[in-house]
Amino acid sequence: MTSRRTTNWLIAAFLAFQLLYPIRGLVRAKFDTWGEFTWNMFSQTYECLGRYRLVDRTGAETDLNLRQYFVIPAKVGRTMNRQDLPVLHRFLCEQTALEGRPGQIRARVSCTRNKVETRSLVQENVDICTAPNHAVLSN
Amino acid sequence: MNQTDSVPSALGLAHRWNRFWYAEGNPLSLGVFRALFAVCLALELPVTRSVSVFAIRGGFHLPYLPFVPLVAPDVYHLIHDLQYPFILLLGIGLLPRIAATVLLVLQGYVFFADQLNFRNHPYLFLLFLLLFAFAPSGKAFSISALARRTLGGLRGVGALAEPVVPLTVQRLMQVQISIVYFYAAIHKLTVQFLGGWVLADVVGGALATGPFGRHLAGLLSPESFQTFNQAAARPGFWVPAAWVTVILEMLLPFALWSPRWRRAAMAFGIPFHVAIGYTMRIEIFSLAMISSYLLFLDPATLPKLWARFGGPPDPPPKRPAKGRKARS
Repeated sequence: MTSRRTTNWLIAAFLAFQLLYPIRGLVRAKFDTWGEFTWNMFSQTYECLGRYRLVDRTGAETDLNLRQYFVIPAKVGRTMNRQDLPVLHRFLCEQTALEGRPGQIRARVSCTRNKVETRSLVQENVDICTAPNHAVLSN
Repeated sequence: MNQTDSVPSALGLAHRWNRFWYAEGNPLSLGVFRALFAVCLALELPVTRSVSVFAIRGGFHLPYLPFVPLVAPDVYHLIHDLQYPFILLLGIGLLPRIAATVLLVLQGYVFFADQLNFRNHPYLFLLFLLLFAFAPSGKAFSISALARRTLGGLRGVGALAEPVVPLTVQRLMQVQISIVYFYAAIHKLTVQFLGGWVLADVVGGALATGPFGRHLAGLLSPESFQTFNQAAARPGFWVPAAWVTVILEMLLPFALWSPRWRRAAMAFGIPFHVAIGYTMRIEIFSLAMISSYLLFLDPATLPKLWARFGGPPDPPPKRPAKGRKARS
Protein backbone atom coordinates (compact mmCIF):
# COMPACT_ATOMS: atom_id res chain seq x y z
CA MET A 1 0.00 0.00 0.00
CA THR A 2 1.43 3.34 -0.98
CA SER A 3 1.85 5.71 1.91
CA ARG A 4 0.17 9.09 1.80
CA ARG A 5 3.59 10.77 1.82
CA THR A 6 4.60 8.87 -1.34
CA THR A 7 1.24 9.62 -2.94
CA ASN A 8 1.72 13.31 -2.18
CA TRP A 9 5.09 13.27 -3.90
CA LEU A 10 3.65 11.46 -6.94
CA ILE A 11 0.80 13.96 -7.19
CA ALA A 12 3.22 16.86 -6.87
CA ALA A 13 5.53 15.43 -9.54
CA PHE A 14 2.65 14.87 -11.95
CA LEU A 15 1.30 18.36 -11.37
CA ALA A 16 4.71 19.99 -11.61
CA PHE A 17 5.40 18.44 -15.00
CA GLN A 18 1.94 19.10 -16.39
CA LEU A 19 1.87 22.69 -15.16
CA LEU A 20 5.44 23.73 -15.84
CA TYR A 21 6.46 21.94 -19.03
CA PRO A 22 3.81 23.61 -21.25
CA ILE A 23 5.33 26.99 -20.35
CA ARG A 24 8.19 25.95 -22.65
CA GLY A 25 5.76 26.17 -25.55
CA LEU A 26 4.84 29.70 -24.57
CA VAL A 27 8.38 31.04 -24.33
CA ARG A 28 9.88 29.25 -27.34
CA ALA A 29 8.76 30.09 -30.85
CA LYS A 30 7.73 27.47 -33.35
CA PHE A 31 10.89 28.30 -35.30
CA ASP A 32 12.87 26.74 -32.44
CA THR A 33 10.83 23.67 -31.56
CA TRP A 34 7.66 21.90 -32.57
CA GLY A 35 6.16 22.44 -29.13
CA GLU A 36 5.11 18.94 -28.17
CA PHE A 37 3.57 18.30 -24.75
CA THR A 38 2.52 21.94 -24.41
CA TRP A 39 -1.14 21.72 -25.50
CA ASN A 40 -0.69 24.35 -28.21
CA MET A 41 -3.53 22.80 -30.19
CA PHE A 42 -4.46 24.63 -33.37
CA SER A 43 -3.20 27.87 -31.87
CA GLN A 44 -0.99 28.92 -34.77
CA THR A 45 -0.22 28.32 -38.40
CA TYR A 46 3.22 27.35 -39.62
CA GLU A 47 4.19 26.96 -43.24
CA CYS A 48 7.61 26.26 -44.68
CA LEU A 49 9.13 26.40 -48.12
CA GLY A 50 12.23 24.29 -48.51
CA ARG A 51 14.52 23.32 -51.32
CA TYR A 52 17.44 20.91 -51.08
CA ARG A 53 19.94 20.57 -53.92
CA LEU A 54 22.70 18.05 -54.41
CA VAL A 55 25.68 19.65 -56.12
CA ASP A 56 28.07 17.08 -57.57
CA ARG A 57 31.79 17.49 -58.32
CA THR A 58 31.12 18.90 -61.79
CA GLY A 59 28.84 21.58 -60.29
CA ALA A 60 25.66 20.00 -61.67
CA GLU A 61 22.66 20.42 -59.40
CA THR A 62 19.86 17.96 -58.70
CA ASP A 63 16.86 18.63 -56.48
CA LEU A 64 16.59 16.28 -53.50
CA ASN A 65 13.07 15.10 -52.86
CA LEU A 66 12.82 14.87 -49.07
CA ARG A 67 9.45 13.17 -49.21
CA GLN A 68 11.04 9.95 -50.47
CA TYR A 69 12.71 9.51 -47.07
CA PHE A 70 9.52 9.85 -45.02
CA VAL A 71 7.06 7.01 -44.57
CA ILE A 72 4.35 9.68 -44.42
CA PRO A 73 5.54 12.45 -46.76
CA ALA A 74 3.32 15.06 -45.12
CA LYS A 75 5.47 14.75 -42.00
CA VAL A 76 8.42 16.53 -43.65
CA GLY A 77 7.14 19.85 -42.31
CA ARG A 78 7.35 18.51 -38.75
CA THR A 79 11.15 18.69 -38.92
CA MET A 80 11.27 22.29 -40.11
CA ASN A 81 12.45 23.91 -36.91
CA ARG A 82 15.92 24.79 -35.66
CA GLN A 83 16.01 22.02 -33.09
CA ASP A 84 15.31 19.19 -35.53
CA LEU A 85 16.79 20.38 -38.81
CA PRO A 86 20.38 19.43 -37.86
CA VAL A 87 19.19 15.83 -37.37
CA LEU A 88 17.48 15.85 -40.77
CA HIS A 89 20.56 17.35 -42.43
CA ARG A 90 22.87 14.77 -40.90
CA PHE A 91 20.51 12.05 -42.14
CA LEU A 92 20.48 13.50 -45.68
CA CYS A 93 24.27 13.62 -45.77
CA GLU A 94 24.55 10.00 -44.64
CA GLN A 95 21.78 8.86 -46.96
CA THR A 96 23.19 10.46 -50.14
CA ALA A 97 26.59 8.98 -49.28
CA LEU A 98 25.00 5.54 -48.86
CA GLU A 99 23.24 5.95 -52.18
CA GLY A 100 26.60 6.62 -53.85
CA ARG A 101 25.74 10.22 -54.65
CA PRO A 102 28.74 12.25 -53.46
CA GLY A 103 28.66 16.03 -53.47
CA GLN A 104 27.53 18.99 -51.45
CA ILE A 105 23.99 19.51 -50.24
CA ARG A 106 22.76 23.07 -50.20
CA ALA A 107 19.48 24.08 -48.67
CA ARG A 108 17.04 26.93 -48.44
CA VAL A 109 14.34 26.73 -45.77
CA SER A 110 12.00 29.62 -45.08
CA CYS A 111 9.14 29.34 -42.60
CA THR A 112 6.21 31.62 -41.86
CA ARG A 113 4.42 31.65 -38.54
CA ASN A 114 0.82 32.85 -38.37
CA LYS A 115 1.07 34.20 -41.92
CA VAL A 116 3.07 37.24 -40.78
CA GLU A 117 6.48 36.28 -39.35
CA THR A 118 8.90 34.77 -41.85
CA ARG A 119 12.42 33.55 -41.11
CA SER A 120 15.16 31.68 -42.92
CA LEU A 121 16.25 28.72 -40.84
CA VAL A 122 19.24 27.58 -42.90
CA GLN A 123 22.36 29.32 -44.14
CA GLU A 124 22.15 29.29 -47.92
CA ASN A 125 24.92 28.41 -50.40
CA VAL A 126 26.93 26.34 -47.94
CA ASP A 127 27.27 22.58 -47.69
CA ILE A 128 24.95 21.38 -44.92
CA CYS A 129 27.21 18.36 -44.40
CA THR A 130 30.28 20.38 -43.44
CA ALA A 131 28.90 23.69 -42.13
CA PRO A 132 28.69 24.27 -38.38
CA ASN A 133 25.43 22.97 -36.91
CA HIS A 134 24.68 21.53 -40.36
CA ALA A 135 24.04 25.08 -41.63
CA VAL A 136 21.07 25.60 -39.34
CA LEU A 137 21.02 29.20 -38.18
CA SER A 138 20.92 30.10 -34.51
CA ASN A 139 18.49 32.71 -33.12
CA MET B 1 3.55 37.54 8.55
CA ASN B 2 5.26 36.24 11.68
CA GLN B 3 6.21 32.69 12.50
CA THR B 4 3.17 31.96 14.66
CA ASP B 5 0.84 32.98 11.81
CA SER B 6 2.57 30.74 9.30
CA VAL B 7 1.98 27.53 11.28
CA PRO B 8 -1.85 27.62 11.15
CA SER B 9 -1.81 28.71 7.50
CA ALA B 10 0.47 25.80 6.62
CA LEU B 11 -1.85 23.48 8.49
CA GLY B 12 -4.81 24.99 6.65
CA LEU B 13 -3.09 24.41 3.33
CA ALA B 14 -2.31 20.80 4.25
CA HIS B 15 -5.91 20.33 5.35
CA ARG B 16 -7.21 21.70 2.04
CA TRP B 17 -4.71 19.58 0.10
CA ASN B 18 -5.85 16.43 1.90
CA ARG B 19 -9.52 17.32 1.59
CA PHE B 20 -9.12 17.76 -2.16
CA TRP B 21 -6.83 14.85 -3.08
CA TYR B 22 -8.03 12.29 -0.56
CA ALA B 23 -11.77 12.86 -0.81
CA GLU B 24 -13.81 9.71 -1.14
CA GLY B 25 -16.93 9.06 -3.13
CA ASN B 26 -18.86 6.81 -5.44
CA PRO B 27 -16.72 5.65 -8.40
CA LEU B 28 -19.60 5.40 -10.89
CA SER B 29 -18.51 8.50 -12.84
CA LEU B 30 -15.01 7.08 -13.08
CA GLY B 31 -16.36 3.70 -14.17
CA VAL B 32 -18.59 5.13 -16.90
CA PHE B 33 -15.76 7.36 -18.10
CA ARG B 34 -13.48 4.30 -18.20
CA ALA B 35 -15.97 2.52 -20.49
CA LEU B 36 -16.36 5.55 -22.78
CA PHE B 37 -12.61 6.09 -22.83
CA ALA B 38 -12.17 2.48 -23.96
CA VAL B 39 -14.52 3.22 -26.86
CA CYS B 40 -12.33 6.22 -27.76
CA LEU B 41 -9.22 3.99 -27.61
CA ALA B 42 -10.83 1.43 -29.92
CA LEU B 43 -11.80 4.14 -32.41
CA GLU B 44 -8.37 5.73 -32.23
CA LEU B 45 -6.38 2.53 -32.72
CA PRO B 46 -6.76 2.23 -36.53
CA VAL B 47 -5.89 5.93 -36.89
CA THR B 48 -2.76 5.59 -34.77
CA ARG B 49 -1.77 2.47 -36.67
CA SER B 50 -1.91 4.35 -39.98
CA VAL B 51 -0.19 7.59 -38.92
CA SER B 52 2.44 6.34 -36.47
CA VAL B 53 4.37 4.17 -38.89
CA PHE B 54 7.62 5.88 -37.93
CA ALA B 55 8.06 3.15 -35.31
CA ILE B 56 8.93 0.87 -38.25
CA ARG B 57 12.53 0.49 -39.37
CA GLY B 58 13.58 2.43 -42.48
CA GLY B 59 13.49 6.04 -43.64
CA PHE B 60 14.12 9.14 -41.56
CA HIS B 61 13.68 8.92 -37.80
CA LEU B 62 13.66 11.50 -35.07
CA PRO B 63 13.69 9.45 -31.88
CA TYR B 64 13.01 10.87 -28.43
CA LEU B 65 15.45 8.35 -27.00
CA PRO B 66 18.21 6.93 -29.18
CA PHE B 67 18.11 3.46 -27.60
CA VAL B 68 14.42 2.76 -28.33
CA PRO B 69 14.50 0.02 -30.99
CA LEU B 70 12.43 0.26 -34.17
CA VAL B 71 10.50 -2.81 -35.29
CA ALA B 72 9.59 -4.75 -38.43
CA PRO B 73 6.16 -4.07 -40.03
CA ASP B 74 4.60 -7.35 -38.79
CA VAL B 75 5.70 -6.62 -35.22
CA TYR B 76 4.31 -3.10 -35.56
CA HIS B 77 0.92 -4.48 -36.56
CA LEU B 78 1.07 -7.09 -33.80
CA ILE B 79 1.61 -4.29 -31.27
CA HIS B 80 -1.66 -2.76 -32.44
CA ASP B 81 -3.63 -6.01 -32.75
CA LEU B 82 -2.66 -6.97 -29.20
CA GLN B 83 -4.33 -3.86 -27.86
CA TYR B 84 -7.89 -4.85 -28.77
CA PRO B 85 -8.39 -7.48 -26.03
CA PHE B 86 -6.95 -5.15 -23.42
CA ILE B 87 -9.18 -2.30 -24.60
CA LEU B 88 -12.10 -4.69 -24.17
CA LEU B 89 -10.95 -5.59 -20.66
CA LEU B 90 -10.62 -1.91 -19.80
CA GLY B 91 -14.05 -1.20 -21.25
CA ILE B 92 -15.83 -3.86 -19.25
CA GLY B 93 -13.80 -3.13 -16.16
CA LEU B 94 -12.21 -6.56 -15.84
CA LEU B 95 -8.67 -6.18 -14.48
CA PRO B 96 -8.71 -2.54 -15.62
CA ARG B 97 -5.45 -1.60 -13.92
CA ILE B 98 -3.56 -4.40 -15.64
CA ALA B 99 -5.27 -3.64 -18.97
CA ALA B 100 -4.38 0.05 -18.66
CA THR B 101 -0.76 -0.79 -17.82
CA VAL B 102 -0.39 -3.11 -20.85
CA LEU B 103 -2.01 -0.52 -23.12
CA LEU B 104 0.25 2.16 -21.67
CA VAL B 105 3.33 0.11 -22.54
CA LEU B 106 2.15 -0.80 -26.07
CA GLN B 107 0.89 2.65 -26.99
CA GLY B 108 3.76 4.31 -25.17
CA TYR B 109 6.28 2.39 -27.24
CA VAL B 110 4.71 3.47 -30.55
CA PHE B 111 4.33 7.03 -29.33
CA PHE B 112 7.85 7.48 -28.00
CA ALA B 113 9.58 5.52 -30.76
CA ASP B 114 9.68 8.68 -32.86
CA GLN B 115 8.91 12.37 -32.42
CA LEU B 116 7.14 12.29 -35.79
CA ASN B 117 4.44 10.18 -34.12
CA PHE B 118 3.47 12.98 -31.73
CA ARG B 119 -0.15 14.09 -31.72
CA ASN B 120 -1.85 15.83 -28.85
CA HIS B 121 -4.75 13.53 -28.13
CA PRO B 122 -2.81 10.23 -28.18
CA TYR B 123 -0.56 11.94 -25.64
CA LEU B 124 -3.62 12.81 -23.57
CA PHE B 125 -4.80 9.20 -23.90
CA LEU B 126 -1.42 7.98 -22.63
CA LEU B 127 -1.77 10.20 -19.59
CA PHE B 128 -5.24 8.80 -18.94
CA LEU B 129 -3.92 5.25 -19.30
CA LEU B 130 -1.19 6.07 -16.79
CA LEU B 131 -3.82 7.34 -14.37
CA PHE B 132 -6.16 4.39 -15.00
CA ALA B 133 -3.29 2.09 -14.05
CA PHE B 134 -3.68 3.47 -10.51
CA ALA B 135 -7.42 4.18 -10.46
CA PRO B 136 -10.06 2.04 -8.71
CA SER B 137 -12.19 2.34 -11.84
CA GLY B 138 -13.26 -1.31 -11.82
CA LYS B 139 -15.27 -0.79 -8.65
CA ALA B 140 -18.26 0.50 -10.61
CA PHE B 141 -19.85 0.04 -14.04
CA SER B 142 -17.84 -3.13 -14.53
CA ILE B 143 -18.19 -6.88 -14.75
CA SER B 144 -16.83 -7.26 -11.23
CA ALA B 145 -19.28 -4.67 -9.90
CA LEU B 146 -22.11 -6.49 -11.68
CA ALA B 147 -20.99 -9.79 -10.16
CA ARG B 148 -20.77 -8.21 -6.73
CA ARG B 149 -24.23 -6.76 -7.18
CA THR B 150 -25.67 -10.08 -8.36
CA LEU B 151 -24.00 -12.19 -5.69
CA GLY B 152 -24.77 -9.66 -3.00
CA GLY B 153 -28.41 -9.47 -3.99
CA LEU B 154 -28.26 -5.70 -4.09
CA ARG B 155 -30.42 -3.70 -6.39
CA GLY B 156 -31.24 -0.07 -7.13
CA VAL B 157 -29.10 2.74 -5.84
CA GLY B 158 -27.69 0.65 -3.04
CA ALA B 159 -25.79 -1.46 -5.52
CA LEU B 160 -24.24 1.64 -7.00
CA ALA B 161 -23.62 3.65 -3.88
CA GLU B 162 -21.11 1.06 -2.70
CA PRO B 163 -18.22 1.07 -2.52
CA VAL B 164 -16.86 4.44 -1.58
CA VAL B 165 -13.36 4.83 -2.97
CA PRO B 166 -10.59 7.45 -2.83
CA LEU B 167 -11.04 9.95 -5.67
CA THR B 168 -7.36 10.84 -5.89
CA VAL B 169 -6.83 9.57 -9.42
CA GLN B 170 -10.14 10.98 -10.60
CA ARG B 171 -9.02 14.37 -9.26
CA LEU B 172 -5.77 14.07 -11.25
CA MET B 173 -7.79 13.36 -14.40
CA GLN B 174 -9.95 16.41 -13.73
CA VAL B 175 -6.88 18.57 -13.21
CA GLN B 176 -5.37 17.19 -16.42
CA ILE B 177 -8.46 18.12 -18.42
CA SER B 178 -8.35 21.61 -16.90
CA ILE B 179 -4.67 21.98 -17.81
CA VAL B 180 -5.40 21.02 -21.42
CA TYR B 181 -8.11 23.68 -21.68
CA PHE B 182 -6.08 26.31 -19.86
CA TYR B 183 -2.93 26.02 -21.94
CA ALA B 184 -4.89 25.64 -25.17
CA ALA B 185 -6.46 29.03 -24.36
CA ILE B 186 -3.20 30.69 -23.30
CA HIS B 187 -1.51 29.62 -26.55
CA LYS B 188 -4.33 31.25 -28.51
CA LEU B 189 -3.93 34.69 -26.95
CA THR B 190 -2.29 36.10 -30.04
CA VAL B 191 -3.33 38.79 -32.49
CA GLN B 192 -3.29 36.26 -35.30
CA PHE B 193 -5.58 33.78 -33.58
CA LEU B 194 -8.01 36.35 -32.22
CA GLY B 195 -7.98 38.10 -35.60
CA GLY B 196 -9.28 34.94 -37.25
CA TRP B 197 -6.16 34.17 -39.32
CA VAL B 198 -5.52 30.78 -37.76
CA LEU B 199 -9.12 29.55 -37.91
CA ALA B 200 -9.52 30.77 -41.50
CA ASP B 201 -6.52 28.64 -42.38
CA VAL B 202 -7.23 25.60 -40.19
CA VAL B 203 -11.02 25.43 -40.22
CA GLY B 204 -11.87 27.32 -43.41
CA GLY B 205 -10.41 24.65 -45.65
CA ALA B 206 -11.84 21.80 -43.59
CA LEU B 207 -15.29 23.39 -43.77
CA ALA B 208 -15.37 23.37 -47.53
CA THR B 209 -14.18 19.79 -47.94
CA GLY B 210 -15.49 18.15 -44.73
CA PRO B 211 -18.93 16.79 -43.82
CA PHE B 212 -20.22 20.24 -42.89
CA GLY B 213 -19.27 21.57 -46.32
CA ARG B 214 -20.94 18.64 -48.07
CA HIS B 215 -24.08 19.09 -45.97
CA LEU B 216 -24.12 22.81 -46.69
CA ALA B 217 -23.57 22.23 -50.40
CA GLY B 218 -26.72 20.13 -50.40
CA LEU B 219 -28.71 22.89 -48.72
CA LEU B 220 -27.45 25.93 -50.62
CA SER B 221 -27.42 26.79 -54.28
CA PRO B 222 -23.98 26.50 -55.93
CA GLU B 223 -23.67 30.30 -56.01
CA SER B 224 -24.57 30.65 -52.33
CA PHE B 225 -22.17 27.86 -51.38
CA GLN B 226 -19.37 29.56 -53.30
CA THR B 227 -20.18 32.85 -51.58
CA PHE B 228 -20.03 31.08 -48.22
CA ASN B 229 -16.67 29.51 -49.01
CA GLN B 230 -15.26 32.85 -50.09
CA ALA B 231 -16.47 34.41 -46.86
CA ALA B 232 -15.06 31.51 -44.79
CA ALA B 233 -11.65 32.04 -46.36
CA ARG B 234 -11.50 35.58 -44.92
CA PRO B 235 -10.08 35.95 -41.38
CA GLY B 236 -12.75 38.47 -40.40
CA PHE B 237 -15.39 35.76 -40.77
CA TRP B 238 -13.70 33.78 -37.99
CA VAL B 239 -13.17 36.53 -35.44
CA PRO B 240 -16.32 35.71 -33.39
CA ALA B 241 -15.48 31.98 -33.44
CA ALA B 242 -11.90 32.72 -32.36
CA TRP B 243 -13.05 34.81 -29.39
CA VAL B 244 -15.68 32.26 -28.38
CA THR B 245 -13.04 29.51 -28.54
CA VAL B 246 -10.59 31.36 -26.32
CA ILE B 247 -13.24 32.51 -23.84
CA LEU B 248 -14.66 28.98 -23.55
CA GLU B 249 -11.27 27.33 -23.19
CA MET B 250 -10.35 29.89 -20.57
CA LEU B 251 -13.56 29.50 -18.57
CA LEU B 252 -14.20 25.74 -18.83
CA PRO B 253 -11.27 24.63 -16.62
CA PHE B 254 -12.69 26.71 -13.77
CA ALA B 255 -16.43 26.49 -14.42
CA LEU B 256 -16.42 22.69 -14.62
CA TRP B 257 -15.23 22.58 -10.99
CA SER B 258 -17.96 24.89 -9.74
CA PRO B 259 -21.26 23.29 -8.68
CA ARG B 260 -22.93 26.59 -9.59
CA TRP B 261 -21.49 26.90 -13.10
CA ARG B 262 -20.97 23.24 -14.01
CA ARG B 263 -24.22 22.79 -15.91
CA ALA B 264 -23.62 25.94 -17.93
CA ALA B 265 -20.05 24.84 -18.61
CA MET B 266 -21.28 21.50 -19.93
CA ALA B 267 -24.08 23.15 -21.90
CA PHE B 268 -21.49 25.23 -23.75
CA GLY B 269 -18.62 22.72 -23.72
CA ILE B 270 -20.51 19.82 -25.30
CA PRO B 271 -21.70 21.76 -28.41
CA PHE B 272 -18.23 23.31 -28.63
CA HIS B 273 -16.63 19.87 -28.93
CA VAL B 274 -19.39 18.58 -31.21
CA ALA B 275 -18.69 21.54 -33.51
CA ILE B 276 -14.92 20.85 -33.42
CA GLY B 277 -15.54 17.19 -34.19
CA TYR B 278 -17.96 17.91 -37.00
CA THR B 279 -16.19 20.76 -38.73
CA MET B 280 -12.54 19.84 -38.16
CA ARG B 281 -12.93 16.04 -38.20
CA ILE B 282 -11.48 15.66 -34.69
CA GLU B 283 -14.21 13.35 -33.55
CA ILE B 284 -12.35 11.01 -31.19
CA PHE B 285 -10.71 13.75 -29.15
CA SER B 286 -14.07 15.54 -28.95
CA LEU B 287 -15.76 12.38 -27.71
CA ALA B 288 -13.06 11.87 -25.08
CA MET B 289 -13.35 15.45 -23.83
CA ILE B 290 -17.14 15.28 -23.63
CA SER B 291 -16.90 11.94 -21.81
CA SER B 292 -14.44 13.42 -19.34
CA TYR B 293 -17.12 15.85 -18.14
CA LEU B 294 -18.57 12.91 -16.19
CA LEU B 295 -15.56 13.13 -13.90
CA PHE B 296 -16.56 16.63 -12.84
CA LEU B 297 -20.02 15.57 -11.69
CA ASP B 298 -20.61 15.32 -7.98
CA PRO B 299 -19.89 11.63 -7.18
CA ALA B 300 -23.50 11.22 -6.00
CA THR B 301 -25.07 12.55 -9.22
CA LEU B 302 -24.81 9.50 -11.45
CA PRO B 303 -26.00 7.03 -8.77
CA LYS B 304 -29.01 9.30 -8.20
CA LEU B 305 -29.76 9.41 -11.91
CA TRP B 306 -29.31 5.65 -12.11
CA ALA B 307 -31.75 5.20 -9.26
CA ARG B 308 -34.26 7.47 -10.94
CA PHE B 309 -34.20 5.48 -14.18
CA GLY B 310 -33.02 2.09 -12.95
CA GLY B 311 -35.26 1.26 -10.01
CA PRO B 312 -36.35 2.24 -6.52
CA PRO B 313 -33.62 3.56 -4.23
CA ASP B 314 -32.35 1.51 -1.36
CA PRO B 315 -31.65 2.99 2.05
CA PRO B 316 -28.42 5.00 2.16
CA PRO B 317 -25.42 2.73 2.76
CA LYS B 318 -23.17 2.98 5.76
CA ARG B 319 -19.97 4.82 5.01
CA PRO B 320 -16.61 4.03 6.56
CA ALA B 321 -15.70 6.26 9.46
CA LYS B 322 -12.35 7.12 7.91
CA GLY B 323 -12.19 9.56 5.03
CA ARG B 324 -14.60 12.13 3.81
CA LYS B 325 -17.41 12.19 1.32
CA ALA B 326 -16.49 14.18 -1.72
CA ARG B 327 -18.28 17.34 -2.62
CA SER B 328 -16.97 19.02 -5.69
